[in-house]
Amino acid sequence: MQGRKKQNMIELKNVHFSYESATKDTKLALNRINLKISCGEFVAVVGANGSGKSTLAKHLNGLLIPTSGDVLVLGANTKCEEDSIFIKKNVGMVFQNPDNQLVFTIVEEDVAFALENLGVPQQEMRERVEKTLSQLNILEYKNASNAELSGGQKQLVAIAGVLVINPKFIVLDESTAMLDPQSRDDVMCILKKLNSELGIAVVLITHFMEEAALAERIIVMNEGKVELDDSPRQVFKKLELLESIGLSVPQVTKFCHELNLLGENLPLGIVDENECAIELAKILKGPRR
Amino acid sequence: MIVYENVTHIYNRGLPNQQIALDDVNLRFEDGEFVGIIGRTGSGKSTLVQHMNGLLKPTTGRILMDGKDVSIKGLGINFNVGIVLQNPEDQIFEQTVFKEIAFGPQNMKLDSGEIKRRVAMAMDFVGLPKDILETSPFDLSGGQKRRIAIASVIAMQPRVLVLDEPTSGLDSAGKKNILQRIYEHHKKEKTTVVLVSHNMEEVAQYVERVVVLEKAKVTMEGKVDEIFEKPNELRKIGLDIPRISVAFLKLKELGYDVKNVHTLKQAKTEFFRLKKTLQER
Amino acid sequence: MNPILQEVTLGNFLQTNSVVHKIDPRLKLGSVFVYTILICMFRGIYALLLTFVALLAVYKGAKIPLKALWKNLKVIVPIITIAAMVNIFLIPGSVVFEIWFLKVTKEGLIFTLMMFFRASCLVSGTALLTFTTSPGSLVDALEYFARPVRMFGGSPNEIAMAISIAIRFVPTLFTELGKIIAAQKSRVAPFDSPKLRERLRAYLPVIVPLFHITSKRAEDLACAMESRCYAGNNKRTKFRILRFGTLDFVALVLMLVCAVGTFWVDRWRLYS
Repeated sequence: MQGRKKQNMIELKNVHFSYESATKDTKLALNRINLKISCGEFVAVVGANGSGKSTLAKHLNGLLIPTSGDVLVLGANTKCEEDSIFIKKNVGMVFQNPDNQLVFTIVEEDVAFALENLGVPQQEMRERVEKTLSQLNILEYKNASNAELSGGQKQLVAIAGVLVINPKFIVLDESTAMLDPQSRDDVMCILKKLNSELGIAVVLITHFMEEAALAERIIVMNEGKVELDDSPRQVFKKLELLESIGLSVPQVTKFCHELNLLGENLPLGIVDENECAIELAKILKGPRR
Repeated sequence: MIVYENVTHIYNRGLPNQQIALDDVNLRFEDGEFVGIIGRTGSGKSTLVQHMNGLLKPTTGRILMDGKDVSIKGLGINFNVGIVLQNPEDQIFEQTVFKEIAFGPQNMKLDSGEIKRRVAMAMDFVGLPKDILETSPFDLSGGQKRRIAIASVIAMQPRVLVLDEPTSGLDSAGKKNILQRIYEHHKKEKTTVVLVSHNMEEVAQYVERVVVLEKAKVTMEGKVDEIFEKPNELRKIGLDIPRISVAFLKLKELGYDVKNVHTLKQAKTEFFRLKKTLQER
Repeated sequence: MNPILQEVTLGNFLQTNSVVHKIDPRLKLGSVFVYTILICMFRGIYALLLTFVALLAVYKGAKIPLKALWKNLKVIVPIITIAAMVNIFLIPGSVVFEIWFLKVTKEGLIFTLMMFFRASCLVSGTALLTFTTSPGSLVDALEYFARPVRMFGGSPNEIAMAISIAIRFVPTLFTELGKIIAAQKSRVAPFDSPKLRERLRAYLPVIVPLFHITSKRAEDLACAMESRCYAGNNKRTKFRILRFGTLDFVALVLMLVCAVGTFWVDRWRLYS
């Protein structure tokens, strides 16, 4: 770890990655990725099935090591074995299926797992587990068994399991994909809170465009490459491009776009229902004034 | 026609983790309908549909298909109903796509000519190219696996097709593809389709009638327009309404006399109607 | 989640907050161990019967409904029945009655009954352990007993962890199994066919997907554990610290009394 430059970001430099495959010719899952994700950001990563977004996620905490190129987490290279724990402490990762990532059955035991691994003293461990559970409003389930919880609650427990080690980044690899809309909203709410109140950077891999629209920045992946990297508004302006790579835009964005094609004049890239209504109202009023 | 009469289903009855999954459900599915079932996770949707072909038997009550009780314990699977379960790609096991899709028809003891015809029909239905017939399904992408799994049920030519969240986990191109094809099949063959979904935009676009489940009970039921007329009730039980409906409700709050809409098409018509009336004034 | 499989209780922890749940997991694990040996040593049926009744009493105390136990016992019933059929006719001794050319002997009957109770005791004993002990505490107990492996350079924690994850995965695998069976049943797989060969063949479409899903899940879990800084070393600290309290002492005494008592019944009361 010595000699590392202090940096406040995850930096991907010229990252290539291909899965070893015995049967088929190896296809690049990641192709020349250059990205910087800074502390405190809220980034969404979207892309069609097989676009490489999950592969990208697994590079951020060193679960996968680039075939060529470098991933630097706060200055530490994921290739460096000694920095492995440092990197994992700073980049928490939550996965898709809660049933595959909860190690123990009882909520508080599971949340403590990472602390046990890091050798945190027992008294401190209890305090940190309680604090984390109350931050996520799930303290009441402390002694519950995971089987009693809903999918959304389980996912909050999984988030608690990484939040407890105070990471600078939390990466969620399609963690909302198996949830119903209400639970998705709950999880998004918590993520927003963690981002704004605790300054934790959130990297949200998702295929729900409405969720991505809530981020500050969207990275669009296509066939292993970064296709777009911009604010939601700018990204959703490019509706045709997104649809051509198997993605959609939020329904209101699509609606405004279609009205424009029919001769109306609405600003491009509207993602919010409120804004959509206000813009529609402007047009309806327009001719009278 | 399928009729649910006072159907109750209890898991782990008498154990500490006992759970009532269906509580006195009465329902009716007419022939040729496209019905949507919506509700939060754990509201009993999957349990409800798995009674339809006899995978699950009710704890009390019965299910009639064309007047015949199909829910008697010990009675096998009712093959007039084809169910595509959640994440159906998990069921894939054969070495080739052909064998995978032919598994159902083969078990039905059809002759080889008919099996070939049905596999071809099912492949066509889900829009898979013929040249992958002899490849291993495990080498294909997630979206293609999903379509193979759906084709394997279609190949049995069920009269009633039940799909339990068929598009979850797919990207939007994959979603649209699957639902559009199912819709066309429904229109052409007059197959009854029952769609379990979380995606209200999907439901609004394809479904004729909606059944709302909440905590093991049917709480609302009606034509899709009637159900989405009550956005507040839906939100109260934790369900979404299409985003376009939200936008139009906002517009209403801003003082415009708009009707509730829930598809893009309706929204466009309504917008232009409103614009016209305002201009005329 | 798919509903069909919630029916399975094998390997499941059932939280009822009873006294039995609060007993030190080391004592519970140790008891199951001692008790397994005892059951294998018993020569007469009385001690086995006594043990079985005592076990049922503990189930009552643990507030675990016997129905949960029955679900586990059901699994072994076919195996026992087959073994019983063979033994009942093959063991020589004094004939009780004859059916056609088959002779049923007193020895055969007793042997079969004993086998039945032995198996039932074993299953209900181990099931009681998993019903009343959370996998986390079970790891602690296992780790405690695995401490001697350190002398040979092994890591007790890794061993305990592996076992605990195996236990934790049993219900999940049953869930998956049920899902796949449901899916294949919907495709007319002949699970209920009267022909044994067909029925066995129907299980191939179950095993292949189960294998795929299991490896996928294992991979996911490994990723999740690694992401949460798991390195399998001995520097880990413990969230739960085991304390042997008054309750545990009482339980230990009770356990010993039962063990000695049944053994006495088995050896001296019957044969002296």
